[in-house]
Amino acid sequence: MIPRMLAATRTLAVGGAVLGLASSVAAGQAPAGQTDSEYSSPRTPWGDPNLEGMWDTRTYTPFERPTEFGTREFMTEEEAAERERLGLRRLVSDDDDDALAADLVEQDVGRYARSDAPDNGRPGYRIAGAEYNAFWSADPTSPAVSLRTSQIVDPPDGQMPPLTRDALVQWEAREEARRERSQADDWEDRGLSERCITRNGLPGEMLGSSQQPLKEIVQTPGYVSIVMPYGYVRIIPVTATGEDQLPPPGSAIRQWNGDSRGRWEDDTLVVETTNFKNTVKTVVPAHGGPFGGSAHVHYYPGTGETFRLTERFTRINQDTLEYRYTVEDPAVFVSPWSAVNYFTLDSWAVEGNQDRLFEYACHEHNYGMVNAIRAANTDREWALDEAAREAGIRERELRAKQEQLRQWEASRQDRR
Amino acid sequence: MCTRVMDKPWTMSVRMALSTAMATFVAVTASPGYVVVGEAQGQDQAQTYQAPRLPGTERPDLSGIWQAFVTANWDLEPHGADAGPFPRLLGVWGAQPPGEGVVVGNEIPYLPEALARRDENRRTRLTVDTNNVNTVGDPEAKCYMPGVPRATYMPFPFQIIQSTEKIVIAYQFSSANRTIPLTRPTEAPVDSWMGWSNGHWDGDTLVVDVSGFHDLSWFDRAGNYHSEALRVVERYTPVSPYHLIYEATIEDPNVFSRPWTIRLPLYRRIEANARLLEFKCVDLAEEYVYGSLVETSNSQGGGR
Repeated sequence: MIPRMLAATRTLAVGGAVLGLASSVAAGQAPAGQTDSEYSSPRTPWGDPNLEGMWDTRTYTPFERPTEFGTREFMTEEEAAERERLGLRRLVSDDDDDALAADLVEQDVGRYARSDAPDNGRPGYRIAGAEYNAFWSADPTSPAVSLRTSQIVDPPDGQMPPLTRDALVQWEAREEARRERSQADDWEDRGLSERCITRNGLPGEMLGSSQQPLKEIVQTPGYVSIVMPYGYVRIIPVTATGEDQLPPPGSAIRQWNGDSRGRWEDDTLVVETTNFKNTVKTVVPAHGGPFGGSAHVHYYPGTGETFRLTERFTRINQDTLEYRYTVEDPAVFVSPWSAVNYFTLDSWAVEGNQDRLFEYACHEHNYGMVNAIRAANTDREWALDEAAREAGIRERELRAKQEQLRQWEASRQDRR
Repeated sequence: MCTRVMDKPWTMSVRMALSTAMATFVAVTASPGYVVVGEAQGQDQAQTYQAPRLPGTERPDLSGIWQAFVTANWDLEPHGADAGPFPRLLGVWGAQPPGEGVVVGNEIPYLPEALARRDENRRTRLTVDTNNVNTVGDPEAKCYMPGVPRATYMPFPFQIIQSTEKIVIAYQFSSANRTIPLTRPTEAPVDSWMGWSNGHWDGDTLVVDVSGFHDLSWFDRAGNYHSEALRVVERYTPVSPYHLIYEATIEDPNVFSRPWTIRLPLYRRIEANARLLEFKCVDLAEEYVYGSLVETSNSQGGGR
């Protein structure tokens, strides 16, 4: 179930959000990236830093830095206002499906315009997803505004580091294997999100989706739990400062969301997560495969067994939780990278309108999967066609990643 | 009388509590003429078991990883050993172990027409109908959320994370979970698999009132079921550092002639490395749920 579902579209929601922005910047409510040094985190009755609350994890900060900002970590308030005026400020979703859907709609519109027999009687031809998705994205509140120029803070250029040669070779091989397969020969041709296994794994799932922006933190002595919007609870055993952290479980234990171990460092919760599953095996899914951004770290072939995620949660004022994380996966990225986000205490919940996350029953009603397999097997030619169309969209990203690696290798040669 | 038996039996020493609990437990499940341990008798016992408090609060701390060790997930009612569904494939791996059941008074008080539906459920428990994926067959086999109270007595651990104003219960099976606010009861805005929980304390007992269910979850593999009118009132009572007594009263006038109660102990998982590992079983169920679609289409050659 999706909370706060109002009869509004995303356009309306964002419109409403923009109205609220000026005031929130003016009030200085938005974290500009610096900790209020006067502030010290409240405590639970048992003495741990208190991170509890319903947190809105959405952001307007671009994941990678727009080139005009160079290596500047923060923009000025004037620049922020200008971006807003130009319509460049928009919610950054963890859900790159939205971007893909928009792309598909555009292609459909093009095809529709050229065709004498617009839909050929093919089911779903005109429903590419964007309108449907927008319905779920309505929200009456808006996140705080940060003056950060990008979520990525390391490397200092604010860009995700290149994928390794190995990862790209694997990706290409799996795209090659995909050519034999349609959009939905069976369930494994669909992405993990459509299969209702994980929305997009960690850290992507920690970040704000416009469809479900909230995470709720509930603590007890020795544990911090994060109720995740897409159907599970992250339970992090936390050791006190100075105590030895529990060792991770055996390497045979591989989990979609890894295995997390936490410790307190002063007011900061530090969480290390390992034992991830390798989520992309022999074939890139026809839909929901690699697309840019942290959201899909999980979807890069090879990510999993060598992936270590380190997260740092700090309450920097009553309403703001700073969330810093570092992704290390030497099999996939040429270097580690780090990002910062700010979670905002959700005013809707604080006002008593919502006291819990709603159940996300995805797999339990997944007629989408039944229909996808049926459709693809009813008209395999069409399903191969559609798979090729999506592969074309991924192809652009793959080429861009190959180019990025070439440039990175060249710049290292120059330095030598 | 029977539903009053265990109202407040835990006002006694741990040992007494446990032995009485189990005696009562066995008695009520073994025969209709069970032994009654009255409230007064319980209160007369020597010492009250005092669960440790959640530090800094007045409330007992129920946090921990817990697990039931009963065969109720096979059948809430008393049941004998039986072959599993595919003995030729699985040998006794798939066999049903015997169990005395967990229903107070043994029998679930079905309305006559509802009993027929239960029997039909049982007969078709491993049927998959791709046109009715969520209404035919046992939801467990498909990795659907188990609902309440079934989540409690599945053969998987669950974890209680208790804070001051909320309790989260995370179940290993299918990563199901629910949040239980303790301060202000609210009404379910929509029906769901795990229901809408409101909690409060009755002494050291956590009472959770759960409603807002739809009619899709089952109570067990035997096809015991409910309608969307289901209301479950759960009671979690600490009786030792390592045990909770779990009691759930089940009310559903569409299916049952009167409210009825199940009762079973929950055991703390005390292994030093006890963790709620992931059993997000979707990928383990896909072939079961969707496999027939692939076979059918292949046999049709994939033509238009």
